[in-house]
Amino acid sequence: MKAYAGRRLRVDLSRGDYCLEDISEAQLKMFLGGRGLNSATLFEEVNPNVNPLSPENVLIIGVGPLTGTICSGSNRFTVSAKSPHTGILGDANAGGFFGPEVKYAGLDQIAIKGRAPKPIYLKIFDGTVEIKDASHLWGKDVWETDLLLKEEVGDSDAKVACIGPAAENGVSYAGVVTSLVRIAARTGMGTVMASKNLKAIVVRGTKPVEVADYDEFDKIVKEIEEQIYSSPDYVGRSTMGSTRLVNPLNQLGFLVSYHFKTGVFEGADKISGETLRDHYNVKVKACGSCPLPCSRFYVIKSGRFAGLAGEGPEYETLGSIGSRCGVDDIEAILKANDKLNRYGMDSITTGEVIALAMECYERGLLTKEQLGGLDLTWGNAEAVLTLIDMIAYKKGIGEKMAYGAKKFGEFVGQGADKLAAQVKGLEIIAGEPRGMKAFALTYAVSSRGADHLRAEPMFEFSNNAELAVKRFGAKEAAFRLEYKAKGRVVKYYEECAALADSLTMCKNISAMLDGAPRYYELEEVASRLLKAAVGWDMSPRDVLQMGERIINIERAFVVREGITRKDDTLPERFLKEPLPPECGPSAGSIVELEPMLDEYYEVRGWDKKTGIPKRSTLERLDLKYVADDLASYGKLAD
Amino acid sequence: MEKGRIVADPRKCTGCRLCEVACSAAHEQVFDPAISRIKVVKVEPIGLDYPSVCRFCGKAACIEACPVGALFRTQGSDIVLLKSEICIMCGACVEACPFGAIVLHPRTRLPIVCDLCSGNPACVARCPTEAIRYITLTEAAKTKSTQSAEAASRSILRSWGVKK
Repeated sequence: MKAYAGRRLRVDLSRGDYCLEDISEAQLKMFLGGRGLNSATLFEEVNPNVNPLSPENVLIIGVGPLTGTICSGSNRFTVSAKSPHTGILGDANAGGFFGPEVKYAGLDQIAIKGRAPKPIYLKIFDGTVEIKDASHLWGKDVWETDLLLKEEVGDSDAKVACIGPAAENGVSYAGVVTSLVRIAARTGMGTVMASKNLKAIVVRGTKPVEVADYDEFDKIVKEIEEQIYSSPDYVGRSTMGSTRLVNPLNQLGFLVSYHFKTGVFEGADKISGETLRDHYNVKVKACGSCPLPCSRFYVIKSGRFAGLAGEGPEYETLGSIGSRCGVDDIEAILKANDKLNRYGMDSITTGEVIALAMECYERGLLTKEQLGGLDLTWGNAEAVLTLIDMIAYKKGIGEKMAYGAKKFGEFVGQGADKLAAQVKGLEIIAGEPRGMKAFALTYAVSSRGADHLRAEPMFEFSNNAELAVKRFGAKEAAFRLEYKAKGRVVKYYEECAALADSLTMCKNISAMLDGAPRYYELEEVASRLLKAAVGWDMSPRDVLQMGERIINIERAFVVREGITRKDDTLPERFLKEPLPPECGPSAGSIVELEPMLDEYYEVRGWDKKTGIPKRSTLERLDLKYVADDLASYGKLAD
Repeated sequence: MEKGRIVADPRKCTGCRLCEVACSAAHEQVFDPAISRIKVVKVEPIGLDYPSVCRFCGKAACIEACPVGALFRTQGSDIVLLKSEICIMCGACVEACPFGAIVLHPRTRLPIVCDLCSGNPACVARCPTEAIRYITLTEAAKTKSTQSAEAASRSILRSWGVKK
């Protein structure tokens, strides 16, 4: 078995010891790696009685078969644990250079349980592991920690994944940050790390990654590179990255603005990718082995933030801190992005909590006194920057905002809880669901709460009726405002996303594979890559079934935590309040979720009434043990 | 005739390190930046990515530093070669190189240095932004002198009404 390291590192921080164990080929064939293998480990080792912030929770870092190879965009890593933010499945992934270094150190997975008696960091150099004192690092921000640790271990090539003050202070949506700016941000994985007194993981490896058939692998990767370079998306993606989306989404009428009150933002161009490109970016940047430089390094040359420089931001920060809060001051957004990176906080959740507070302020549900004198009028950039500090250090109202929109809405009361844009406790991205129905369904059913990256069903933007009939059985699948066949679309894209996250491949890359950008058939190329890299003979169907298996074990995990169909929903606003007339092509839209859900459960083989996987479905996917486990908790329908 | 070499432009380098894995793949058919002959020096807080590789010095400090004469060149070639059977793996060449362009192989401990892949460097072929090019220094200088001449003459060009 090539491409994998075949090893898992287990660390028990309460006991202060560790061991290395083999990962069986059979298990890798079931769950692939990265997110998939992490989710399977989590299902087996973290049951519903485990408090996410207790020593019993397991923090798992996983990489996949492609990690560390030359394959485009294949250098991500996934961090998983039970989430302290949502109480259900937690995971987040990030790019940069940490993932491949884990592989070069001879590991596919690191599973950490227990709690160290005092702050420590893990030093992993080529499979030798040391637990080192980190008392002097506690309280330091991400940048300070990263740079100090590289100096301390005496190797500038060491890769650091660490937490910042937000995690240490117990903010429930703190992430794990590598390369200063690449943050596995969602669902509070940094918060779990802090609960274990684990400040950082420092990794350095020099072991080679071998593949089964080098010539064939090289050939496939060159084909992938050719597809990327020849894609009509290449120029936009390699100059502006995700920031290119601000203007087009605004034109389509679903750029999240003023906390979802509308899909149009008059200041959109001021915070757009074009503005960043023309006035702030000095060069483009990329993650490990990626031919698509979608990241950018910016410098602010004058004004109140003169000298501020760094990588980013992504579209989600522009949309969440910017239009969602009515902020059109791009330099303030860059400053906010820098703060969020240094504190180690999720920008989507932070933006949502602040935007929710702004709407509550406008409606008179929050007073200036409660806010310690802050004026939360839409667009007040200074107030947004102040609130980020207050949340990270839990000062004043920041203490109430440190646990996300759902809990903040409940604190404010008077109906504010219904305004919180979240599903299962996780905040919705800066993508207005009323303007794209398959995305809306994705938010509702995703295993980590509201999320787009669990599917990214871009097919609904294709307008290709013929292909829609062929692939999903109805022409409506190709149109974003239609409902029919969206259950099928989401099922397929969820499985591709699970494959990408487990290979591990970046979705900015996987979405560009095949002749027609964004309608990918990832299972085809994944099947060839796995044959050449690992030596496995798996048909595209077998490979796609791995994705289906991963979705099902994740569903089983959240079902065991108490999730059922009633939780697969969207906040009332999206179900009842039409997008206003100014939203052009999306005006008047709501989301009619129930028919899409019915179709989705049907094609998934899940019970329509409860949304729980049927025993027959689980057994078809070789998950009998999962079915038995659910039955033992009384959570299996048949 | 002047020989080509790898010339880097850090303004274009994205820091992706594809060159490093491509180098390891070209030499040993594995993926392992630790055995790459080219190295992207990264200083993350200031956004610097600087591809560093052998400069094929006319007066090669590595060859001069070798106590046993294991490093050598053949007539008419700029490439530093190794007689591995007499190398004592002492690392004197690594210490001597002013650019840090030689490292010891993590497993064999033999020095590894750029061999230009027999005239078709794998790193250059894989670079997404042409941040590294395989050209002669004279060609590199010409590009630079043209750019600098145009930059210095902006006001003249403006007065002529010429646009570029």
